[in-house]
Amino acid sequence: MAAAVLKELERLLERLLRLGQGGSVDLGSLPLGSADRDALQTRLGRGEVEILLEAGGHSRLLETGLPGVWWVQHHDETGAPAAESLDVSWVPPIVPAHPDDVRAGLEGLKRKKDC
Amino acid sequence: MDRQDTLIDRLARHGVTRRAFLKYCATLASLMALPPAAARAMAEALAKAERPSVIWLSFQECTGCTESLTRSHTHGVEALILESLSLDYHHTLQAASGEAAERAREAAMKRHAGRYLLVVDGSIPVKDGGVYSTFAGISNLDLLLEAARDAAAVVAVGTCAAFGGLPAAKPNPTGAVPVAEIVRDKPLINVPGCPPIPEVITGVLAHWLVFRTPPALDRLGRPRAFYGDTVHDHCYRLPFYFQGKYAKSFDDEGARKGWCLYELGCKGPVTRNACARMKWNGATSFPVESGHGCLGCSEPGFWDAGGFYRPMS
Ligand code: SF4
Repeated sequence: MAAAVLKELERLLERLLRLGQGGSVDLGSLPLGSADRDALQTRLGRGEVEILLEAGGHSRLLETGLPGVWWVQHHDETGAPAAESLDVSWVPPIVPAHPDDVRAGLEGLKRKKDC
Repeated sequence: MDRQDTLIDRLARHGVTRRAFLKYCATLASLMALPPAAARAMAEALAKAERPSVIWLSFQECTGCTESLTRSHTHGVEALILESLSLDYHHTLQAASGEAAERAREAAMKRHAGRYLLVVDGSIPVKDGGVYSTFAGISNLDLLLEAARDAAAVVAVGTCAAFGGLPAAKPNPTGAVPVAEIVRDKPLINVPGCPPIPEVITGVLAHWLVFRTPPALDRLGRPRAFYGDTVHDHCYRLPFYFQGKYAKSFDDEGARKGWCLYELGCKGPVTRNACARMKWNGATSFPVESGHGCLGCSEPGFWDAGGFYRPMS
């Protein structure tokens, strides 16, 4: 199973370089045993970036030793695991601020300045 | 549409950020075995979703399915999405009663003709002209036929609505039948279970909200994402099953050691449901984990399957 995941990551990394858009492998939907998981973790290794997110529960986004491959773990408000995936992207898509939110923030800033 | 009417705005007013919402969509996509890219599409579509109208009819049932749904509100985002449904008619949850409630139902059906989602819990008695269950003098059968006519799709929640359930158990005195025997010309999603897992009900409703199509279904009309595997497939006692280690009574050494409950009547091997995977009460536990065999409650005819405590072979 670990070999199949690595093959899919290879495909997604090539896609990221070619089209600027990667994809993701949903680990929750795969019958990954603990041996597969260990093999995958060992093979992917650790990168330099770790992002912690507090949004509807705790999330941890770890860069792996393969640049562009992120190990993403989401937990719900109770701390229970909610979803786990390997994201292939420059930066995981959940991280950058959305233009609508930036716009709303800017408007708020301007309003405060006017007061 | 007024920008203030989008789902993301409503969520924001309740303190739910876009990232929390994206995370919920990723979880839901994973739960429903949708391709990973669907999470983003889902987030975009849900964020812009109109407030869909839902008409919920309860027939021969015990209200357990509604109880299950109202207890699903452990997840903040999920709860708020459900609140954004316009539940135009629901016997148990609506404030209106009597004539006013029936007028509200008729008005909602007219206003949203062709677009509303019809949710049904309970079976429909058809014997003796359907006299065994009526509202405001209208038989369940007539009400279902009328409400289904202009529905976009129908969701049969619970085993009674999906397969007849307890009311249809032998000798079935009221001639109870499932929704599928009455509504044949609309997309129908069966969500069986006695009751169904709350997150399964909300997952199916959220899928409808986003895609406006039923999810992939099995031959009994159940969403494959939740009913594709048996309870046995994901049961943590499975190693004991393979080793031939079975509890012989509920208080013997095998039971204390957590051995397989097959010989105590567990129906896990023939029951398609997500209990062992998703569990209950905020993923706390499921019947087998509490020491009782699976009753097979999401399968047709489970009341008449030969006894809850009798081994299958
Ligand atoms: S307890 Fe039931 S579901 Fe679990 S392994 Fe035994 S037979 Fe299968």
